[in-house]
Amino acid sequence: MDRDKAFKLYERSISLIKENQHEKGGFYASPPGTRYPYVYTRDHSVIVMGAIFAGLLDEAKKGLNFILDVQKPSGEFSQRYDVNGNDTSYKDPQIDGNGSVLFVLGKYCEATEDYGLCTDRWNVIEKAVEYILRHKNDEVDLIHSMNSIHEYPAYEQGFEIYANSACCAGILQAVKIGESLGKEVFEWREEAEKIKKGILTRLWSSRIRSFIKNIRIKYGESKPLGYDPFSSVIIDVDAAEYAPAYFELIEEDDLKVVSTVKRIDDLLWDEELDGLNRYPQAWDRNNGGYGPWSHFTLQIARHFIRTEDEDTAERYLGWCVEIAHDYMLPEHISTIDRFELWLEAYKNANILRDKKITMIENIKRHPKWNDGLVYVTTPLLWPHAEYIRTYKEYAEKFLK
Amino acid sequence: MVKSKTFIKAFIVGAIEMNNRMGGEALYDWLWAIGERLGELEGGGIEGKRRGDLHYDPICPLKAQLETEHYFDIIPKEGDSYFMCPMSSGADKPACGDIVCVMHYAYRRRRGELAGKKVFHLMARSHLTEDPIFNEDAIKAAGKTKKDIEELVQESACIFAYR
Repeated sequence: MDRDKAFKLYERSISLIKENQHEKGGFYASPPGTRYPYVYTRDHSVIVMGAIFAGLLDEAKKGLNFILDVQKPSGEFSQRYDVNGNDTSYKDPQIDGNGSVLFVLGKYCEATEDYGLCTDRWNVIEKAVEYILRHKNDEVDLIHSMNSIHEYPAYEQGFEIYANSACCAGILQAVKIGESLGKEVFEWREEAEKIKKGILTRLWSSRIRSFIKNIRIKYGESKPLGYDPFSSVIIDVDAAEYAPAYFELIEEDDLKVVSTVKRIDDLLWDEELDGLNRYPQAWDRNNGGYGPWSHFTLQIARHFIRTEDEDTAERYLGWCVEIAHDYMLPEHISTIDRFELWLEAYKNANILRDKKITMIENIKRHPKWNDGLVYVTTPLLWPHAEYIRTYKEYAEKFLK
Repeated sequence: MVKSKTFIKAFIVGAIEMNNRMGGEALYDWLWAIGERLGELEGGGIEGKRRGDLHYDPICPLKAQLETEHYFDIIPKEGDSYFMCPMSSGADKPACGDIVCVMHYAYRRRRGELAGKKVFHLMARSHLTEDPIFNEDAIKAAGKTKKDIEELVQESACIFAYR
């Protein structure tokens, strides 16, 4: 790994986060003029987390104030907002957003012991937790979601692992905050423990030796679940199956995590491009062409750092350092062949929309196109936030 | 058995029954009230895709779900007043491509109000004929002319403006 470039990428990641915070506090998912110039709750939460790890605590607090102020009347945090805090979502609810906001709020409190934010917004925290618990199914003690981290209902509607892990971890952080403020949160803890047990048992396969993606259920209120129109299970490999560890519900060295990550590494590491794909190519929803994603590669890199597998950690982190162009990380990369395959499929299906046409133009304009590579959405702030955390951990463990 | 589309059909049948029993004005008021209530539940927000100072929906999300044209011939109704959209004119009224535009406009309008915006509904495409239906008062109130929105009409099911 090019250590000089790795350090410069760390510094650039911090400056990109600072540059991409709007004066009202929201973090752009990608800069104005690029593909995602909005505040997406999921991305925003990850970026706030990156800011905390970078020591940008004022920026993190400003980001938290922004998101806590824009909760919807139901208690939901919307899929996305404009920089003024107006809900501009165009997707069904994404309940992991509630978990993510609570999780990062708890992490901010842990880092700063600044609970003033939570005292003022305790009603927001209550509504956020209650919104999650309204979606809990008591037959399996899991949270029902319409979609999740991939915004892909076909594979994510049901009791999905990332959404459940985020929500469970979020409630546990709300419990910690509540206890610090002297609130009565015993019931929340009980509910969170049930959800955790649900994740660790119902979303785990002993035969595959991996966490699984989703118990596919159309209606969270179907009872009994076996009669739900969708009732089935998705056991395909997905980088999101690392979520129970990502959200700190289980130790990194737990055999469940180790064997899950082994399956992810075995099946999703890209043989041609290196880097980690997010899910199998056959899912066929690969805007710009199938290929490895920076932020999933960085998440899994942390597992290898924490389990002291330096070679693999370097393979993962080093790949991200290598693909960074002008010290900026893309959402994902692909090859021109795969790009053409995707383009043909979407053209034939007549589902190329204007935003995708803009994306295609940007891909072809990117300098890496001339090297035979497809760079999709550069820079994306999410991987830069993950890079800050991962590089710091790597440097502390292996570069001292 | 009850199927995925049963509730959607129930909505259309309910609207027709309301129209048959209580008349077009009652139906209009009912749909307006539903839209406002839904807007309050959802909270403030800005809808649609943005082009300059206009917003638009490339497809009508309600048309895709309702499949009105599919049920038009098969659902019993008295006359055709259900689909005639008994709108009163004005800049603060919907452009009516279908009776559900009343509900959608009231919803969007309430969400806009909660976000501190006034909403004008400039055009909606008819669910049955696909012709653009303009609200000329709303176009004027938004500071536009039909010529200004001509190009956007080609790729929109619905055009509106926040001011």
